[in-house]
Amino acid sequence: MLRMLSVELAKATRQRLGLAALGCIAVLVGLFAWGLWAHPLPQRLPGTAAGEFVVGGRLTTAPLLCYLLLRVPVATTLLLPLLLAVFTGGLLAGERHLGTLRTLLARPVTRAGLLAAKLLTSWIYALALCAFLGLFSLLLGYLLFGPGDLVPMFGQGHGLTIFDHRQALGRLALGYGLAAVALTAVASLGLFFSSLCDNPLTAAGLTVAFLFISAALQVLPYFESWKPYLLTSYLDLGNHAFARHIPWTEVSTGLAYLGGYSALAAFLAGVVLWKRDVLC
Amino acid sequence: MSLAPAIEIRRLTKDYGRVRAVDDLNLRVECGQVYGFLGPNGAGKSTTMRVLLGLIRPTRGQAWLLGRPCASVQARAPGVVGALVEEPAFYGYLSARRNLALLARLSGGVSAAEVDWALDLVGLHGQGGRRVSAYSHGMRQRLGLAQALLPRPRILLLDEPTSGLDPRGRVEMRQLLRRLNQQEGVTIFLSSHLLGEVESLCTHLAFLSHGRLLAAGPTRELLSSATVRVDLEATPPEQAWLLLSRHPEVRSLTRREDLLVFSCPRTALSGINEALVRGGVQVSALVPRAESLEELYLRLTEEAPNGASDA
Repeated sequence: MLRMLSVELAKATRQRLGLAALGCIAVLVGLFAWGLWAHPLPQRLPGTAAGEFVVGGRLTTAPLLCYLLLRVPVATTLLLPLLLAVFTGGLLAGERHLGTLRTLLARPVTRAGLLAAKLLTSWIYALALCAFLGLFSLLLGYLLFGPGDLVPMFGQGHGLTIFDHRQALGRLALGYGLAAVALTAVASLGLFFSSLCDNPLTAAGLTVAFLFISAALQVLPYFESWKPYLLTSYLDLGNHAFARHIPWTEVSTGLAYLGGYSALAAFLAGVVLWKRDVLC
Repeated sequence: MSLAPAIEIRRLTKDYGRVRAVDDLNLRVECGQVYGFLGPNGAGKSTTMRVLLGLIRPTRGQAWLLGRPCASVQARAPGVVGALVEEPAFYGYLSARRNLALLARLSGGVSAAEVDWALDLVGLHGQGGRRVSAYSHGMRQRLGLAQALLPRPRILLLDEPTSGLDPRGRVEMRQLLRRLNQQEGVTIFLSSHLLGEVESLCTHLAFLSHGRLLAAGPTRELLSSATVRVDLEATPPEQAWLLLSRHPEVRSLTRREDLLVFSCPRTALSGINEALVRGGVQVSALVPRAESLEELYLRLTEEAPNGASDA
């Protein structure tokens, strides 16, 4: 199993796709940083019932850049799932398409072992993308804006919360950690679609379509009762890390659903891989 | 030393939906043999090979490699079997050496020296550092054999091993396979459409058509079998053709310049001659000879029932 995992990781790290994904993330982070640098946040923040807050000191800090990239639904709920869909599409469908699946399975490798190695690889990839997004944005933030406190801009309700630098780093670590867990569920789903298809693009397309349909159902009032069961309801789980008091019940419920999604997708992928003849 | 045959197939049947690809196949390949697996496209050769590698689950029946059930991972344990099934497939973004090392790692791993040994053996010395995406079809074919040899297996399953190779490459591949068999005792089970190559290499043959086994045995016995190929010179040829085409023992009747050529059981020769003479044909030459592998192949596959069988 470890041997298979090392082979899978060796393949993944040498694919151009991996570098391209990091490049996409770097471009996105760069654009956000440029935007913030060109137009720093105003000192006067729109308030709530209490009126506006006027903040002394800098609002635009390294933790803020890192926070915005997690909080604004571009990176963790759009770009990273897309990159993951493309990567996981190649894991089984890509091997079938190339013909390398038969080369692999002609070795002393069990299908369950191969699936486990591919699943772990996809999870590691999801974690790596998330970690790169967080660390690169933090690094660029330090270079451009320097360290400082974090004033979360969204979802505060009444009042304003300020995390000092150390607290901010802790909250960011938690937020990115939760986002990474959400992405592992996307990775498992991608692997399931990959097990069904012979073409990696078809598999990636199915994963993206699933996410889009899930997101569409999420916003339609008629399907309100479905919301707790939709994967996209939990892709922004990391946002809970920036509430004044972390809603641990919601976080653990979200983690349970994500775990359920991952387990179901992995199980179904296993059934498909076990039952399908390797003809390509 | 294991007494189990290298390959044993018992009552193997594989259906793809309503189409039966392999039909009740029984085959036994002893250790040390070079076994040729012949048949037209769609005969079930590749399906059988895939079953042997555990890539396909049979509908019925079983197969073993060195006594280990093919469906189990033990049948593909390091040093048991190496395979090249259809087009060799590799990761184009990796070098040949890296591809071999990664694939061999799944079989327990091999040293860099062994990777180089395999590359040298198949004539890819000095090319191991290049990305496989830059390889020609023939080079990939050679690399396919190299990966099958790592780690050194006791059985080699090769599906069209010389496909895409130039004439020199084919000769070299043939010499290599012979050397592996004679010097290292590797059992080789190969399919090929190049009958000359199979005839010169294989100690045993099996003929498959529409999933059914038509004949199997030692190459010499099959080629000197009771059936002979006959060259007939007779006048008038039209009358001879008519009589021969109606004769129940005559098979694969063709015309080659002035000769009529057909196959028949050796014991039926005098009866055919008598029928020709009685029918007013003047026979000037009736020359029986052993069938070539090509003639045997054509006769067997022509006699086999046509069309894919329904499951």
